[in-house]
Amino acid sequence: MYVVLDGFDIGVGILLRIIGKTEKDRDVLIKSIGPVWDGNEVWLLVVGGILFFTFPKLYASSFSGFYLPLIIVLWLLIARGIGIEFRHIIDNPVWKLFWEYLFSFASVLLSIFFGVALGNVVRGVPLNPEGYFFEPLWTTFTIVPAAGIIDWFTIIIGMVSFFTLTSHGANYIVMKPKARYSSGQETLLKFRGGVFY
Amino acid sequence: MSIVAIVSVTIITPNIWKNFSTYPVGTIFPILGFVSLAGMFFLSIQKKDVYAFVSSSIFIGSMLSVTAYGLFPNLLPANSDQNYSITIYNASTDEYGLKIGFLWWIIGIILASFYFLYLYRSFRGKVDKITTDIEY
Repeated sequence: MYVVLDGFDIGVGILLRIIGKTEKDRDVLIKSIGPVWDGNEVWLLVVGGILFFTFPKLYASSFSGFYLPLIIVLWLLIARGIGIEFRHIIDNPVWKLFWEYLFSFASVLLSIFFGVALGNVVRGVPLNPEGYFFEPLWTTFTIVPAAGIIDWFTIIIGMVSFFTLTSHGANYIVMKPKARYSSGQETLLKFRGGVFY
Repeated sequence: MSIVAIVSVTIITPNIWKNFSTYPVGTIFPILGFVSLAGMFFLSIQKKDVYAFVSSSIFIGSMLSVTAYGLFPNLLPANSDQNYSITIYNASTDEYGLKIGFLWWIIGIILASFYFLYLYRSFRGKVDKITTDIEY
């Protein structure tokens, strides 16, 4: 639920500077997710809450082992939030540009990090008998002997996540905002499914 | 990208497909994934935008379901020793905790569902510069 709902506003964030060539287009794109982006993140809290009371061992182990990437994800979520909320405070092109790029940059990294996290779960982590583990952010980018959180496999899954959420956001952009786009961007949106997947 | 992901997952964890051969009912998830992927492509060409977005959502949901089904009963597999893996059996709280948790889950999910119904209902339709008066 979280990935589907927050996925499209992450996708809109990734495409903000690509699709929104004019300030008006970018206004419309941000307004199209404005009322819902923070609501969508409620599901992230639901996931944390459910883990805490039903699978406390998993909660303890993963929040301990993935401490650094979780803190990075938290900062990226904060960067997205302030990117949207601070953008309109001062009507100055440089001010708006800064927050738009911050919002897009955080969205790109967040989409990749979610994929990397999924890749780690699929690949497995070096759990000890007590159920704890530690992984550095990266080692040699290989799977063996001691893989980091980022290796060639998790990067692939991260890129799949990036393209999937970008495409999901593109589908939302076509469906929701009534914005005008140039012909090049129309072509991009027409092939939003096939090119990315 | 989907093909690259499937190949790399198969190389890293070949056992992920074991559950699908043992319990073939789970093959519905990859089938749904490929159907929704194709559906998204053709629906977007036909400019059926809402259905294309729904297909995209189904694709994401089915791919995550494939992962969960393939890993079951593992929640966090160990690559050091399979016996150290965290599974739904060794990680869950006791029966009393699960019962109380389930009751709170029902209350929480009803609240969250009503909130989302209200949110998305009040935000239905297309968005343009004029129809939204809130600054973002």
